[in-house]
Amino acid sequence: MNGQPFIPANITVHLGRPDAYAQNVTVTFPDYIKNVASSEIYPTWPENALRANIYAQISFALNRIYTEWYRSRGYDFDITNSTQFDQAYVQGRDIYENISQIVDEIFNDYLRRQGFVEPLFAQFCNGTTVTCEGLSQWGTVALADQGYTPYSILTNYYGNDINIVTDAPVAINSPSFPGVALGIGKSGNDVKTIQVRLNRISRNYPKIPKIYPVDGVYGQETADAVTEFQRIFNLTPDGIVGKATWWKIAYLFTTVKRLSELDSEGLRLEEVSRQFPSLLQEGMQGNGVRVLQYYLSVVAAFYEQVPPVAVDGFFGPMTKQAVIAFQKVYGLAPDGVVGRNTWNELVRAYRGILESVPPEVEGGGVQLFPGLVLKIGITDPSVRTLQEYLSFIADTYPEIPKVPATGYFGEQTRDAVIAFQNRFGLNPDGIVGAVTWDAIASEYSDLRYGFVKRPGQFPGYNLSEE
Amino acid sequence: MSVQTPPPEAWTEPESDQRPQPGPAFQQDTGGAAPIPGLPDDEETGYLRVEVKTGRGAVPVPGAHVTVSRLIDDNPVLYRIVESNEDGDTPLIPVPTPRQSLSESPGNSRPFATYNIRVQQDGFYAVQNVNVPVFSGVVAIQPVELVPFPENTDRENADNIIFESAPQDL
Repeated sequence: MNGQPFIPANITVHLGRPDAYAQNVTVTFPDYIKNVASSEIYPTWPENALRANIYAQISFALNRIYTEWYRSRGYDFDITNSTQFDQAYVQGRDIYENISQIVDEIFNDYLRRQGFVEPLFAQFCNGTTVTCEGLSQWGTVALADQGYTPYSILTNYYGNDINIVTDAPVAINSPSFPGVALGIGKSGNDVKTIQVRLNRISRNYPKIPKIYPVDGVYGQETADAVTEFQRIFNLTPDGIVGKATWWKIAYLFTTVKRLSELDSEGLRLEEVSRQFPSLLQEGMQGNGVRVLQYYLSVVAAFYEQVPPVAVDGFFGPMTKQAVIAFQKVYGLAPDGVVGRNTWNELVRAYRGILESVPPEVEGGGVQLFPGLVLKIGITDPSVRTLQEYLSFIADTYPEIPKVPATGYFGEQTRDAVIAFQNRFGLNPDGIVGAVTWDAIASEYSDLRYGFVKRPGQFPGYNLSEE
Repeated sequence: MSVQTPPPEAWTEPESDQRPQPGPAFQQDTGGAAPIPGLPDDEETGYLRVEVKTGRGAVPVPGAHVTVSRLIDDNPVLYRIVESNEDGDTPLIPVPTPRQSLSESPGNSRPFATYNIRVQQDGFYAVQNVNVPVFSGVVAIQPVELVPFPENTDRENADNIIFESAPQDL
């Protein structure tokens, strides 16, 4: 990796020594750190000791990722859970709530030595049975008891020439935390983003009340929805969107949206045959590969041992890794080649998932890019869909004009597209290719399915007798 | 991204007029769950909550049957049976633990209690979490990701998924 370090969306952890035959799991970076911290230290230690240790754990992991330590050596993971090589991680373990809250606050902060770009390779050990160059875990307790701050604890072990870099970019599809907490009285685009996302999340978590209207003004309704979200997701329930709450909403929104995107993908592949297409392996391409990747993606959304793959029809190294991971879960020969056995197990797993996901959580799938670039002069059914989506979105974003759904792409439609592109940071050329289409459909899905309420869910507005 | 200062200048923590103070102790929000009354002198109260989800946390699983067992001399003894609510969460369960003071320096006996948790819901593999460590005064959240049965699974012989927690190596 070159350039500025960033927080990856996910990290792949090998559950054993590097050369041991073992499964990998792919989890979000904050969840990985919460697990490491809960495994490495005692949650009853003073808070400044906890923070110092967690900064070191974050930096260690980011260093492995930034230097591509394992990937560059041909391994298919980012880090191991062997304490001889890396740091402790116990798949499936419990997480301590106070540690969880600290990590939510500092997961994208890391240590760096002055003059260097990469995250500090912050080694540590317990300091009693094992001593080392680097942080002593029990030593941090003694220093914290004496009143040392997290930074002064860290300089004590790593030297004075280290910085804490804060608010590193996070590689998930989300705007960054705006830097100031959002609360009652604030307004603007960031507030609107929060409102749209919470409404979408509340489809899966109906105790979160709907926010209506979605107007970018942070009122009591928004605060109530935020508080309920915080209660469910183990954040301090203060009704204010600070850094921890911002990113937790972003991560959960991404996870929730993933299922809708897969739904759309499934719709697109409806016409493609689901029969076993004969042997599939690395290097091949086509619809058979696409269907394979779709099944793998759905399975990956429910199995932490299977990493997600792009559904692009090309069987490359990432697809092979996902196939191997799946084969390991089911006790099949992990050769990365999809024969009839692997295919059948994959279809069984996929169908089992469909049976178990409740219908009100599914859906939210929208029409995928029709493959035809839409611009002035074109008449097509997909233009009508585009116009319907834009007009629905215009109800929430008044800077976007409504357009009649005529199916003809004229100047009104072009103006609406440009307004959308401006609002959402796309190139405002008035032309709808795949990127603009996906952005429009995605926003439509968030708004449309964010407004649909579940039985018993407070709709966000008062029903009255007239 | 905000950096305290660009390298390679030295970065110093902002000066404070006050002498360094010990950091704030964590106040756990136990949501009203009270410590267990009448515990023996060598025990205090910790807290467990189980969060039952699927789809990597996107989908809560309500109505899951959750059994918490306490390990007494390594034998599991039934402690609580609860159900997950519509967010997938169980209520907060107070549990006996060793005293917190044991965790504050090395060389003491084990400073945490261990529990087994079993989660079961129709349509999913049952999950067992074994040796779940719980500390005095701390809320331990046990996230449980349920995996849906593949189609046509022989449910009689369906495996439990078992996660073993390693004790802290401190």
